Amino acid sequence: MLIELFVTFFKIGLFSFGGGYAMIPVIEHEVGLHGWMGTGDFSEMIVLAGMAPGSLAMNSAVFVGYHVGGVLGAIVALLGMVLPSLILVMLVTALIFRMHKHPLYKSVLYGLKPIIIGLSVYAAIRFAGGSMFVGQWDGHTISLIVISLCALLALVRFKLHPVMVMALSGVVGVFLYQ
Amino acid sequence: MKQGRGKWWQLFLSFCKVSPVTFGGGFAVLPLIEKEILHRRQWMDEREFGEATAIAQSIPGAIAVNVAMVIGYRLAGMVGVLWATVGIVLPAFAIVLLMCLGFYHIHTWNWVNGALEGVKAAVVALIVYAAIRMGKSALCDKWTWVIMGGAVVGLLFLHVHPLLVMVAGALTGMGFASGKRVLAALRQSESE
Repeated sequence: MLIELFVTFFKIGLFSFGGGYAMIPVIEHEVGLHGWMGTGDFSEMIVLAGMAPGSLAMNSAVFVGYHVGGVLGAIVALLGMVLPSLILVMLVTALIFRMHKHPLYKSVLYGLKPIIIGLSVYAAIRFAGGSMFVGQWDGHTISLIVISLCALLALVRFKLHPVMVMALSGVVGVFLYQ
Repeated sequence: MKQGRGKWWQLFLSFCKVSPVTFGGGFAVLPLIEKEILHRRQWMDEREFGEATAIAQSIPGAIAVNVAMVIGYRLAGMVGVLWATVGIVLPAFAIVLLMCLGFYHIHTWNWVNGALEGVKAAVVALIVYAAIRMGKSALCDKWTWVIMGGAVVGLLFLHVHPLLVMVAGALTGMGFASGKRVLAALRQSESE
């Protein structure tokens, strides 16, 4: 099981271009495939991973690892996430220093970057559909949509720090939903 | 290159210090690392740091960790890579692990669940915001929009494996580049 954890997150680590959010669908897919977590647990886990310091993808790996195999599982999952880029930097650094300007590599990134955005959009849709707006169009759902829109406005328009936005939404949540 | 200026334990300490405050992921972290490495330690100049972040973005993995690795390599070689990585990863990992341990206890508290419900709504906004920020540089022409749209459709309706979608995107990018080259060559031979 630990080996399975390691291999899975090594694979995810190898593909985790463009950081955190685009990796949510990938992790969700793998977690579902192995039957490690339910959808409810998973979205809760993403929320916690987003609130902790560090990268979202890496924190998610730690959470899933811990859920599956305790502290050892968490360590194994983290190693799986870190090793691909560590190996890349250590073994082929000289190559990377030249490669990141190579036309072929640039053309790969040209095609890959829109995919990363597509994955993020998909993650947002899934996350909203799976964890927030499951019910009907009642007051609860509408209030969640309002919070989301206010949070987006705060981020885009007023450049509020992501942690600040999460903290404020949490406070609103305490008053509305407890 | 300013090799040997940073001792490995100084690298470790510097990134250890940055790690626990790297909230908000990715690009929120870069200014913190910049402050520590450029202004406080003065190990690098702006140009070197810019190059390090460019490289960090073009390899897989979390950008903050990648930047730490590349800076570690630049300053102290392989040993530097290892210690910078341990420094940036370990404190955050410890905090997340504590959260794991604690969460199962406070999960039953009512106000915690209320707060989580609110934060969930905020996370949706955070994801959208990240997409918008990345889109500014990545969606540079109509073809990149098409690729992005195709990815969303494939994921949402055709349930294609996310990793497969990424491979398809990389191949499409390569195909486009060679297609452009062929077109340019054709045009050139026509004009001659």
